[in-house]
Amino acid sequence: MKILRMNSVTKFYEGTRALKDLSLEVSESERIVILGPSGCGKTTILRLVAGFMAPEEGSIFISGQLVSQDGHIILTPEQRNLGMVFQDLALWPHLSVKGNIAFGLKAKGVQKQERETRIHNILQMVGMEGYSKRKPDELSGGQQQRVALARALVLRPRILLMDEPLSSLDLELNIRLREEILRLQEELGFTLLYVTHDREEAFGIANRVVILSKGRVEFDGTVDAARAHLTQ
Amino acid sequence: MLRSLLNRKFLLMPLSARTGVMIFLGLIILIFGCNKKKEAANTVTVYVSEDQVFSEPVLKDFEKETGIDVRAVYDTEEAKSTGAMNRLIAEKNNPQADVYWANEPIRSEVLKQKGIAASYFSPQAKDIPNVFKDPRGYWTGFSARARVLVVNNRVKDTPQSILAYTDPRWKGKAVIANPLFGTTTSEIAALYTIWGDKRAEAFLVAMKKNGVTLSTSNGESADFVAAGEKDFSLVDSDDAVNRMRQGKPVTMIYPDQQENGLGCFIVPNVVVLIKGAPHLTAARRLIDYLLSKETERKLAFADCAQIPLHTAVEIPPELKPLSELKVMQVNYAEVAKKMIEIQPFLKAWVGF
Amino acid sequence: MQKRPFLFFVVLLFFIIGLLPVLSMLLKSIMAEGRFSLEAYEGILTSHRQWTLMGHSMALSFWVMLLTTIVGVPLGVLLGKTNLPLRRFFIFLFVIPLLIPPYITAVSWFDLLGREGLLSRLIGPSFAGMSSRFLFGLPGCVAILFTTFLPIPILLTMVFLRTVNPRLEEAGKLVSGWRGILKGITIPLILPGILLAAMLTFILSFGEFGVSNFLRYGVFPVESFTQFSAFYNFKAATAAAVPLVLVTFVVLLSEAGFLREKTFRLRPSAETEDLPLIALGTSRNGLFVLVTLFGFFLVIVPILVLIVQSANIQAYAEALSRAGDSLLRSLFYAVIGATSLTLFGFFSGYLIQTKTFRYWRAIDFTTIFLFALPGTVIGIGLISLWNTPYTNFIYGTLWIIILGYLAKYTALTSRITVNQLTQISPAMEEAAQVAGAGWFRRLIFIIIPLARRGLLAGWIVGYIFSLRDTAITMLVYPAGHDTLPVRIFTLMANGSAQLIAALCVMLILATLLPAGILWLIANPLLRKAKR
Repeated sequence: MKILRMNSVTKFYEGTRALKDLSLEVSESERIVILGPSGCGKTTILRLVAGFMAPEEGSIFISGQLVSQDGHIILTPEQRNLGMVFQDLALWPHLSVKGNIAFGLKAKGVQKQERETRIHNILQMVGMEGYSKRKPDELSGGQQQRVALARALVLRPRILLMDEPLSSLDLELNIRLREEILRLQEELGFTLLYVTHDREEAFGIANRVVILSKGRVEFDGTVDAARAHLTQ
Repeated sequence: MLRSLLNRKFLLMPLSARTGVMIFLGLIILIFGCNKKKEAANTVTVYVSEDQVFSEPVLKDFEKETGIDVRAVYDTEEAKSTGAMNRLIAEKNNPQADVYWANEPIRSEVLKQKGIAASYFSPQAKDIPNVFKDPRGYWTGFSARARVLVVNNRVKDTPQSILAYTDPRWKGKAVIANPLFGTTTSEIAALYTIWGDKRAEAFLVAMKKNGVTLSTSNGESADFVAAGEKDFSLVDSDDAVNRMRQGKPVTMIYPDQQENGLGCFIVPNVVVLIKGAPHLTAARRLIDYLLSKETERKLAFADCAQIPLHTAVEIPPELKPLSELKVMQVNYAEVAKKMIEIQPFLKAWVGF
Repeated sequence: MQKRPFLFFVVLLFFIIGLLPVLSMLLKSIMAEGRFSLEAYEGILTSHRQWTLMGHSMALSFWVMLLTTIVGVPLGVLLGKTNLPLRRFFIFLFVIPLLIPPYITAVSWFDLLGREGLLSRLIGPSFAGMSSRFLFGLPGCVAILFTTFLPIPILLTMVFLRTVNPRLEEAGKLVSGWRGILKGITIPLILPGILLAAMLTFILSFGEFGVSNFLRYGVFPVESFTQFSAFYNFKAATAAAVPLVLVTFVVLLSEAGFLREKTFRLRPSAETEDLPLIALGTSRNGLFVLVTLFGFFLVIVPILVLIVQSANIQAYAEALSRAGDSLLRSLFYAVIGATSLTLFGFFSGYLIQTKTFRYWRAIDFTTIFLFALPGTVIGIGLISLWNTPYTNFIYGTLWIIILGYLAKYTALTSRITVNQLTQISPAMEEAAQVAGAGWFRRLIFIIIPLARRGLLAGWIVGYIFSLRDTAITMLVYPAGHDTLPVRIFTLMANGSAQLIAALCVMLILATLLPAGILWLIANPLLRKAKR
């Protein structure tokens, strides 16, 4: 069964058609990168999957369950069990690292003892143990990325959505974090839906690349095929 | 349900949020608690047109002596002493007040005619002259102002009658408060009932011809005279007494005291029991209290310097007892009726 | 979905609290014995006096608008964009008159300039006659409302200056001095803000009745109040209020059509620290002296007059015994008012900011419309709706006053919330949503903590405006529920000048002290907690 299915989705955004009759199927544990210039509708895909908006036409299924259809949101974001890392990370500045990570666990009613273990484990995984009492603005850019990842992954999401999370980092850090994302994906086995306008970043992370242009899928295939497609 | 909420969510909240919730709950309990307590206690609601400065101490004394909680609505000067009456009219079908303390009898006549007043003969009112009481007990007068002439001391050969307003000798030297409002309206209406329409209108026209100045209130009239800008004005006795006590160069003259004279127009305070009063017993006690000799004595010595209607009440030196005054003999019910009739003429006269 | 039903409930509640009274009043005014009738309106519209009053109202609002703009904009630039010394102090100073009921300023000027005033004792009665004539009439009303509303253009100019992208000015700096930049770049960019301030002062002056009433200058809101208060003539009062409603409506509509688009494009930038300041150079000292003198005469003198006038212990003892209970009530009601206003304003601001409903603009417009509407109109509306035997739990209790506060002042807390929320990234809430948190949890643990400074500011503004309210409270207060501003108003009839001055000083302290202390204590705490 496909973990994500988008069926001929059309979405208008501020009066223009952001996505046109778009269909996409994603299998479990795939690492899909959606590549395209800004304004091509790639962030819109993430927001549709997350459930912040509904497609005007078409339908979206997650793990076989209908989540939105023809302008109606059937499952709200909080019911979809997804993880998301935002472009500006959206770490809550008034909560500590631990508070940021614990928030979702509390919302899901995870008991205190289990919460503590899971927070401990995930911090270890992203290499941030010992920082749990810090506030986000006391961390470096790379550290903030790791916290944002930890916050999303601690909930064991079916799909992790990432919206250009590395765009603000310098190249060296960018490459290092890419590797970590790959390592985490290998360990935890989540499905990754990743959006970027940066080709190298895309090729470094993906095992499948979708190139989007003016709201339509221009290309869908392996990294090597994508490379070839783009050098044409 | 509530318990699980308290157990889990409430205790999970950070400390600040928990205190917030506690404060909020406390506040709500406090508000409703306060309301209930007051409602249950012994209270009386009174609407007051007499100036708050003078009426409030009397009501406070009543509270102290009886333990009954007084809740009051006071008129502002700007509402020209009719706000409370009109609020009573608006609340006819939903009475909130028990007692109305008016600063003159005309408004209470209106309330009686509109079916808002209830009848009550207070035992305290027995020796108050009948002219100051409604024969069917719908209102009862007490402590009165007299309508007097306040005259600047530099004026020799002072005016002794309100007819001075039309006397060429005082051309351009007199001032009167806007007759659309307050006691001035009542006095003019009283003149209509005594003189008849023709003579009263002629008087007003002549007064205007004689260059009378209009002020916004009796107080302002008295100030004009005190400052020497005008020679005399027809005002309430408290306005005159006040200026005298402040050491201003003015004298108070009771007009038309001569043999066969018109007499001086007396404006008593009036108390009315409201129909459907929510606290009837307390209301009667308050009315009895207001009509007592003791209240009249207090109001005589206060800055409002009001003349007692009971006999043998002690008074300050500036005042004359009622028994020594020649009083204008009017029927206040007729005056009330007249007052409404003459509105159009007065508006035109003022130049609205 | 807890969010939409809850917010819909808030909208419904606001409709009942704010709009329904006005509608009920309008409806009752066109019914005579169960049939449609425009009798009341004919009386008003055909009366020559009404047109005179309307002329007065227009003249008063126009002059106040003109003067506040001419003086307020340069002052705003001076305080918001130059290196003038003690800028923060001056801002605080000039805002004070806005925070106290305008009629208190009028009382103070009267104590200074009136026939029996301090100056007449010093200089002589001939001067007093002149100054008193100046005070009682259009010039006096304009002067007092000018001091009251001057902070509006000052503050709005400052806020809009912050929204100007510094790069634009730096680009200008390469080719011109500050004078040229201000004239050619900055002022044109903040023009929408200046127009907004002008419109606000116009409407607020138009609806203000305390001052004109005290100084006996016949304007339209006074007529409406008198029709109601003196004659309890509901229909005439409503008819007299309709032109007020119409003028407010038209001015606001033109603002919505013309200004809204432009003002919305200018969002306050987050980093205000690196705002380029104009170095005043040699004129710095001169301007400092000028602003000091201006502030001294405009704000400090009136307060001093009240203090001098009331300077004896007896006056304060009498004031306390006369009005101690209404002072406590005032504080209590202001706290309840501020709290309800903060709650209401938060939710309405939230639904406006997040555009929860398609008609969010209408909600925004309604709150502002009710704010601009004269308090007397809202008061009359509330009475017309709630004065029935079945609704005495509102009509006969403090809640009728609180409803009045909510109807009139929700716009303030709502706007403050909107402003605060624009500075919080929507991803903050979305992140919590993806993490599985329901709406209430997101509100309590994410949005409210992030917006807490805005909430504090809203609470303080709500407190001040609840405390200073006179027009609504005076009309609706049930027996025994009068607040301090109302008590002062009723005691003014024949009360001694000392007593009134002492009460005014008490009111000013009750307004400024708690609000100031709260700001000084809570704001740094919140700021620190955010670090």
